[in-house]
Amino acid sequence: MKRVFVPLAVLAAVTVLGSCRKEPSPAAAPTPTAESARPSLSPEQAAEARRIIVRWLECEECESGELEAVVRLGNTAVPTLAATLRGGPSPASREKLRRHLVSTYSRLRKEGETHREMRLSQSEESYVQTYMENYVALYQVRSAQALAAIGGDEARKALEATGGYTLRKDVADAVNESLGKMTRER
Amino acid sequence: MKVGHDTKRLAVAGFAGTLAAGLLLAQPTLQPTIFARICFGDFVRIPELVEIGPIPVGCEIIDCCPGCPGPGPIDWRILVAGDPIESAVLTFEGLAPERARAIGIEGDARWLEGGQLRIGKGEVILKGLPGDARDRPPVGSMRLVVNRSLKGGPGDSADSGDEPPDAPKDAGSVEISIDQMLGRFVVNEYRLRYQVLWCWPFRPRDRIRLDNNASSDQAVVLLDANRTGGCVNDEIRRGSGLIGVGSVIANGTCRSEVAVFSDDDAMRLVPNVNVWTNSLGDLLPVDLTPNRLMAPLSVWVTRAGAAATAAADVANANLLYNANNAGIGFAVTTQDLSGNQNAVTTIGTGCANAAAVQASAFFTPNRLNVYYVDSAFTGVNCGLNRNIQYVGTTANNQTLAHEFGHSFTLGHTNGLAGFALANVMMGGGQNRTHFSEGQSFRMNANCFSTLNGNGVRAGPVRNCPDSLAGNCPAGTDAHCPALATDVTPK
Repeated sequence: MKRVFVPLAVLAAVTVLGSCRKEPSPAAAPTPTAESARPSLSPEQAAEARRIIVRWLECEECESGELEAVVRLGNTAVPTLAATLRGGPSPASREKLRRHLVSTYSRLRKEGETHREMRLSQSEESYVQTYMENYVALYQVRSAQALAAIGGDEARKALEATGGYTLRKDVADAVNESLGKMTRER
Repeated sequence: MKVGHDTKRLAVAGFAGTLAAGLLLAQPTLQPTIFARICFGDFVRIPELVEIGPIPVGCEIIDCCPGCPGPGPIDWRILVAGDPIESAVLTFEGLAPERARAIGIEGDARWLEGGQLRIGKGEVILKGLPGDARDRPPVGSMRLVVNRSLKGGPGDSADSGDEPPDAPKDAGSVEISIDQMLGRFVVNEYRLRYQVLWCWPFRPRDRIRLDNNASSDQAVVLLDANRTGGCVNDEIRRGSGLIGVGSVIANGTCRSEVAVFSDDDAMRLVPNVNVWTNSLGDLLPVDLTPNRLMAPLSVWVTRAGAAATAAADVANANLLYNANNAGIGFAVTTQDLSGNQNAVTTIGTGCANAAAVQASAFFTPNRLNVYYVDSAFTGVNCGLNRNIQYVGTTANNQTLAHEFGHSFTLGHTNGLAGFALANVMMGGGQNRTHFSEGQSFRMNANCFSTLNGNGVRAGPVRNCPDSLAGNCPAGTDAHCPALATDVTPK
């Protein structure tokens, strides 16, 4: 496999601006690189690969081999992970969570009338935004980690491509760590 | 006995025994999104049980799947099956009328007034839903139309005996599946499975009386006892006060105990019940005092700005544990240590620091301790000391409740029969809202639950199998309801 030296400037290009976020559109298309490398899978294989990737993206403690399963997919998973690193969850998944959060907030407001320990001080907008941002960050962090674990040129390119975006600090840290890990393992 | 279809939830007969494999549909490969065992009477009466969704139109992941074709229209492959329903009515929110009219339909489906689509039983395919949403996609929701003429339950001619059966009878299963397709590729999935039961109200020949039911809710009672037909185990009854249990006879060699789960009340486990006789009119009073067990909780915040999120997480944990009748709440004190470098260093970012933490001033023994730290993970409960849990920057609003479940001995429910993706103890997911009664029992009764270890709860303990590893005194009773024992609605 061809190894590409990544100058430190690339790592530094992953800009961190915690208070001024410009996250990519949720429906941003995969990068041309990723698009060109799309794997050829049967519908059954593709569905199973999707489930494996989602299990990793959403796992809590991730101690049941979720990452290892993605690594076993190898380059098959790279275009999807690249797209997720860039754009986070899909619009449908975001909408599902948004509605869940709105519903939960409403229940907490109602129950909080009779249960002091369920009262919220946040507005609905703030409540929803907090967890929606965490959701996006979760997908991006896990994508970066999986790309590093898979390794290879396409995975590295996907990580390096985030240099053009402003990422949340924890996501930028995860991307830097992933690139550093790949560099150390060259 | 003739009983109208409007069966009161006075005493919903037990259905733990109906877990027999013969009554279940073949286990699908995928864990269902929603799974419940419900009484037909509740199915008819409670709107929430027949409302399904929301199900946004579109792919589960952003590029739809590895190897998927590029963006394009989405088709829905819908399966509606089961005797307890006649059909389903599907509605799309956020779908322009002209887009709706352009949807191609294959199978038994037709438009009704008001943009509703009636879906008959069997497979229906809707072709050409918009798959190009960049912001909020259209969202589908479905209402099940109950088959009210279903035969076999209370009130039917076949139900002419003097006594209802000891256990509910199977009324059939309901299965709804929606596969969202991009061409030949399944890009999103939804599965609902209900096991529907005929439940008879029991005559109040012998009774259980719940005293001090704080919210007067429909509490859940699990009954182990002796009947003329033999020992019964975890029969389920419901009620807010006086609950008929039919005819229970003297214990003989049977185990005789009762567990009660109720909103706003602690779980009550009453072992060695000795009030039952072979005569009618026996009464078992169960005092639901105290109200919920409020587990003391210290939240330590080392990530600047995380205190508000921690408060919201604790509020949701309180909601989830109470709404599921677990009888547990959380009384929190919070310290913001984000400006304290010593604290930040000592606490660290995960369980690797647990030993140092529990030896430090940033830990309070005999209570739950949660650390909100600046590191990109969701959450973790530490095996070294299950009073310690860390929450990271990518947690969701169920993460903390999930970690508390581990602290209270619960393991993950991934792949377990009888559990859906909505269970709080799934090892991931964004829409987890449910605990089973079997889980609530373990959280309370397992001797190595931190509730007992911290002295929050005093009462009979158990050493339930299928829990996280923990130490109980030798000989601790291991009799527990099945982990999946569950009652819907809560």
